[in-house]
Formats: sequence, C-alpha cells, structure tokens
Amino acid sequence: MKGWITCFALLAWVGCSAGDDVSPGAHGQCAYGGQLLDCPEAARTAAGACWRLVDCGSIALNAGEMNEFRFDWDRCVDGLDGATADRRSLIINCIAASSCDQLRMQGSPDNPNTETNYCLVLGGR
Amino acid sequence: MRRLILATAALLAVAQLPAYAQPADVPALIKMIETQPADMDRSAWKEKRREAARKLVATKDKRAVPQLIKLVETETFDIIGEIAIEGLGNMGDQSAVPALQKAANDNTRDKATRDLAKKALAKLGSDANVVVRVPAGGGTTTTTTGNGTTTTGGGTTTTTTGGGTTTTTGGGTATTTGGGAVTTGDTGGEVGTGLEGGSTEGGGTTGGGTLIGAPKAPEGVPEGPALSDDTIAAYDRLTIAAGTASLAYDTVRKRASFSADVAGRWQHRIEREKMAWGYDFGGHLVTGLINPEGRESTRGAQLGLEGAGEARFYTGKVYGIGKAAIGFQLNYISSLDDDNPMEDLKDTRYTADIQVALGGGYGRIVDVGAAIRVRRLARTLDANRALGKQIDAATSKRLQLAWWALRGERGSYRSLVATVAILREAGILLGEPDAGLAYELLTVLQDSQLFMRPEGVDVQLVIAEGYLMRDEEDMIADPEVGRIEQVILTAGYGKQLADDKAEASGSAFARARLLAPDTQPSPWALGATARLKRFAYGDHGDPIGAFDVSATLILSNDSEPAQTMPSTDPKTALRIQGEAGFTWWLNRASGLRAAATIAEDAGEIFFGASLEATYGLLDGLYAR
Repeated sequence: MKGWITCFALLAWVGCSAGDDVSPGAHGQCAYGGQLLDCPEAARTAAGACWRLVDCGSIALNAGEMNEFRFDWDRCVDGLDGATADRRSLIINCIAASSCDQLRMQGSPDNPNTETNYCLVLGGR
Repeated sequence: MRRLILATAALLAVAQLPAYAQPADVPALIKMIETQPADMDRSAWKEKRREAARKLVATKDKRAVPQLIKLVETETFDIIGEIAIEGLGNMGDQSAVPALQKAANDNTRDKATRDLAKKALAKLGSDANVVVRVPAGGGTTTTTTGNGTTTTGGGTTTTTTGGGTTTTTGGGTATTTGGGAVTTGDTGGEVGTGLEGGSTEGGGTTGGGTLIGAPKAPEGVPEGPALSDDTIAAYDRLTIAAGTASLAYDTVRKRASFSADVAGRWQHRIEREKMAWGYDFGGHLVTGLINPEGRESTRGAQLGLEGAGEARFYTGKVYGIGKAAIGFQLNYISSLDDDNPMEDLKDTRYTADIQVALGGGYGRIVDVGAAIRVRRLARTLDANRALGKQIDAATSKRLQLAWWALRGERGSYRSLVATVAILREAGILLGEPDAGLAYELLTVLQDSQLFMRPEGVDVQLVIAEGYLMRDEEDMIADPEVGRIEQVILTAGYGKQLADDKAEASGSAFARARLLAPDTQPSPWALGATARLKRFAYGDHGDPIGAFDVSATLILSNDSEPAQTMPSTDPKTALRIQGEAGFTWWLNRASGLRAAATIAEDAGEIFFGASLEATYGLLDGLYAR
C-alpha cells in the first residue's frame, strides 16, 4: 500500500510541477549513453514515431500554451498525419532506424529546429 | 436338513452355470481396451481395460491376438502390457513372436518385462533372437536387437547389438515391427532407408518406421550444430527484413517517389554452465527520393551499422561480465528548393560510438521456446495415447538441433519427418502417427508463439566507458560527446506458466552518467516494464489467439551542465504507460486484433485504441 501511495504522490508531483511550461516528457533507456543501451522498437505509426522523438529528447512532449508554434509531440503527429503517404512512411522509417543522437536537433527538446533533423528534411521541408 | 443343503448347493451350481457357459464378448472387450467410455474417468477406465485384457486372454480367442500384440507394442508402462505378454505366450499363436521378441530385446523396458517376454517366447517354441531370411541372396542374419538389421548377401551372420527393432520373416517376406524404420519385402536383401511407415504382413501387426541399420541418424534427419554437453541454451538468429520498398509516379502531380527500408541482424549466443557469450551485428539502410515537377527534389540515404558482444564467466549463479559495442551511422541528404537555390541543402553527417563495460551480475535468462515445443510434442503424444515414454534430455536436444538445422526450409515437411523419425527411433512415439496425430504434430512444429519465450532471472550492474564521435554541427544539439562514463543497471525476469500457455516477464533498467565535464549534463533514467501473456490453442493444437497486457514506468532527468544557470523548467519526468491487446485468429483467413494503450506523462493523458479485423471468404469449391 505504501508503494502505491508513494507512486501516486510522485505522479502528482511530476504532473503538477509541469505547469504551463515546456514538458519535455520522460526519456527512454536509449536517450543517452550511446550504442550500449538498446532502444525498443518504435511503432511504425505517426504517433509511434513522435513518441520516439520524445523518448530520445528530440522534441518536448508539450511545448506549453505560450509556445504554440514550437514543434512538440502534438505538432509532430499532426504534421505526419497531414503529410502525403510516401513522405509519411519515409519519415517514420527513418525515425525508427535512427539512433537518438541522430534524432536530436538544434534547440532540442524545448525549441527544436526541424531544419536540422535529417529525417524530417528527408520527408520534405 | 441334508436335503436342504443339497438343494441349496444344486441351486448355487446352476446359478453359476451361465457364467461358464456364456461366451465372452470379444469385440466388446477390445472396444473397452481401445476406447475410454464417455461416462468413465481415466483411472476407472484404466482398471476396466486391465480387467478386459485379462478376460481377453482367458478367452484364447484368435480375434484377440492382434489386440494383445498391439498392447505389447504400445503399453510400456501400464501392467496391461505384461498381461498381454503373458497371455500371448499362453495362446500359442506364432504371429505374436515378433512383438514378443521386440519386447524381450527392448532395453528401455524393465528387466521383469523382458524376462516375461522371454518366457512367453519359450512357450511359443521361440527365443529372443531375430531371424531374417533373404531369399535372393540366400543369406540369413540373426540378430538380437535392434535398431535395425541389414542383410545384404549370402551366408549366415549372427550379431548382437543394441536394443530396438526386430525383423522377422519367413519364406522371403520381411516384416518390420516396432519402433523402427522400414524393412523390406522379399527383394533379396534390399533394405529400406526412408522414413516410410511399416507394414502388416504374414498376419502380424507391425509398427513401421525406423531405419534399418541405424543407430546413425536416419536419412533426412539433420544433426544440427555440435553443442557441448554443458550447453544450457543457444541460439543463432538471422533476420533479414525488407520492411518497405516502393516506387511510384503520380501523373496528376507529375511526381516520382521512391523509398526503401532494408534491415538485417545476426544474433548468436551460447549459454554454458561456466561461461556464456554472444554477439549481435545489425545493419539498416533507409533511402528515399521525392521528386515533384520543377526544381524541387529531396533525396537521402541513411546507413547504420552496429555490433555488440559480451562474455560472462559464472561461479554458480554469480557472474562477471565484459561487454563491448560499436556503432556507426551515416546520413546523406540533398534537398533542392523549388525557387531559391540559396535555400538548397546538402549535408552529410555521421556518428560513431565505441564503448566497453565491465561488471557483474546474477542469474541468466534463456529463450526456452524450443524446449516448450518439445514439451508440447510430449503432451500431444500423451493425449493421443502415443507416448511410449517421456522425452529424455538427449532426444530433446536432438529434436531441437534438427529443427535448428532445418530452420531455412520453406515448408515443415522435413521437420515433421525428422521429428517422427527421431521420436520413433527413441521409442517415444508408439506406432506410426495417423492423419490426426500427424496434423497435431505439425501444428506444434509450426506454432509461431514459441519464439522469444524467456525463462529465468538476471540482474546486472556494469560500469561503462565509451567515446562518442559526433559532427561539429551535431555537437550543438548533443549533450553527450567525447568520452563518457556511465553506470548501467539492468534486470530481467521470465517465467512460463500454466503448461507453457502463459508467460510472465519483466525488465528494468537504470543508467546515469558519471564524471561529466562542466560543459555537459549528467542525465539519468530508470524504468521498469511488466508483461503478462496468455496463449490460447484449439482442440488440435492450432494457435487461436493471445492476450497480452503490460505496464511501464519511466523516470528520467536530463540534468544540466554545471556551468549553466539552473533552469526553472522541470527536468525530471515520469511516464506511466499501460497496454492491453488481444489477438484472435478466427480461422485461417480471418482474425482480429484489439488493443488499447494509455499513458500519463507530465500531467497529460494519452489514450489510444485500435481494432483491426480481417475476414477471408471461406470458399468451398468443386470442379470435375
């Protein structure tokens, strides 16, 4: 029981502390540390690819209400869903095959410059 | 009073008369032995069939002989087999000799049973030696055993070799009985070598199936790789995936596009009692071209190569470990702007990692998928009353290595044939499988739910040293470059439950960077995942679905370089994620998958659900 209470308290702390600012989201096992740390396979969907960008610290989970034009998870999914099928599959495949180091951009994760992400450029600017 | 006693005695005698006078119902007794009545549990039926066998023997009816021979050949554990052996000796039918000789020479049976068979043979005027007459060559081979006798020429040869099959004949007709392969007919010494079934000749019921002349592997049964006796587990996994490849031209927008995603991976691992090692090499290529009308075009290629290896040295369950990993990724991109050449982009980037780690741990996890397949085979045979004895470790190893060797086969024919041959040769599969049993064995061999089935527990802590090379431009975005040190904790658990129809597994990790320079951060992360899977099978072993549920928790902190001003942004984040899914194969052409995920991260709730269904037309067709 104590474990559950601790867990919920931790959850509440992290959730509440997010506030309106940028929420980077939790980063996965392979976000840092190089080749020695394996990544789980990313789902080959728009949402799956964007989760991988969050896992890798490439984009923020939520850029916050004050930064509506920043590229975060929400805009990532919208962007991929709005892309033509060929561009979308190319980007998704590229993200799934990339290491986290390759996926990070200038300004990652809070204010990423998508022009410096190889996979997003490959899918068309 | 005396009259009364006499009258009572007479009455009792008369009452007893019908019991002696009434002929036994042989077909009913045979039916009782062969088929378990629906209203009778297994233990009660076992007792009833023993009783029926005793009655069958007592009838001395010739119709009972084939059934009793069958009992001698198949019932190696139940006392009913001994009842049949003794009974055949008393019935005086010479057609029982081959089966009794096989029993007398079968070293897998206990000595008392073999002696009983020898006594029965003596009553029939025979002994345990096997005689083969070959008319064409005129030779005779006598052998006490075995997994086969080969008779090829003239003369007379007497040999005594292992345990196994017997071949008996008379007048140029060879008949194979029992656990083996195939003998021949009256072809003058020709010896069958295939995996064909046996035959019934000369009034004897025969088994079929093994190789004459073996103990060597029957033809068509590959040996697989050589693994030492202390090998606990091993795998060699080659995966080549051409994920997607497409080439298209859109005439409306006058746009050509091409994309390809090709990946390959080779994993090899050996687990021994004192040592374990493995390596893992992989590569992938993602390439694409999007070329609309006009100047605009985008083309690029991404090539990744990676390799890792590790060696463990065990003392009991505790081990020391050394690991190494290398990785290289090259990206090329060319993007031409539709209007302004100044906006064109051409870029080539690379990353390269070299890392080593040293540490220790406890336990190990192995993939027991092939061992589960063996256990499923045993259950299938048992359910079909074709399991002569449990599958021993040597036979299990032989089966698994044969499947290993046949992994590249397009179909399952050779796997099935090899499996039957191995099981027959080991005396595990009784008789030649009929169509129903053959199908059920095939479903076990083709069961795709038996890969990546973990068993065991493993906890490991390593200190890693590495050098990460990044392009100058990337260094702006990359918090880790150059020399990095980190501590990595990993743990795993796997357990197969409910007769291997359920699996509980879990994994956990924690990593933190140590000794980071002031200009770089020291990120850390930890997480754990727990999974439960439940596999469902149909009446005949067909996989019909799987239910899976998992929960994941990840906690991470990006930290910040010591030289920067502390940020007000929260850098610690927690994600809790749950996933549940159910896959149901309705038939060979139809199925559905329902799945739902829920995640909470930074106060945001993400929910997703999907339902995929495919329905195939189930056509019934006829053409003359």
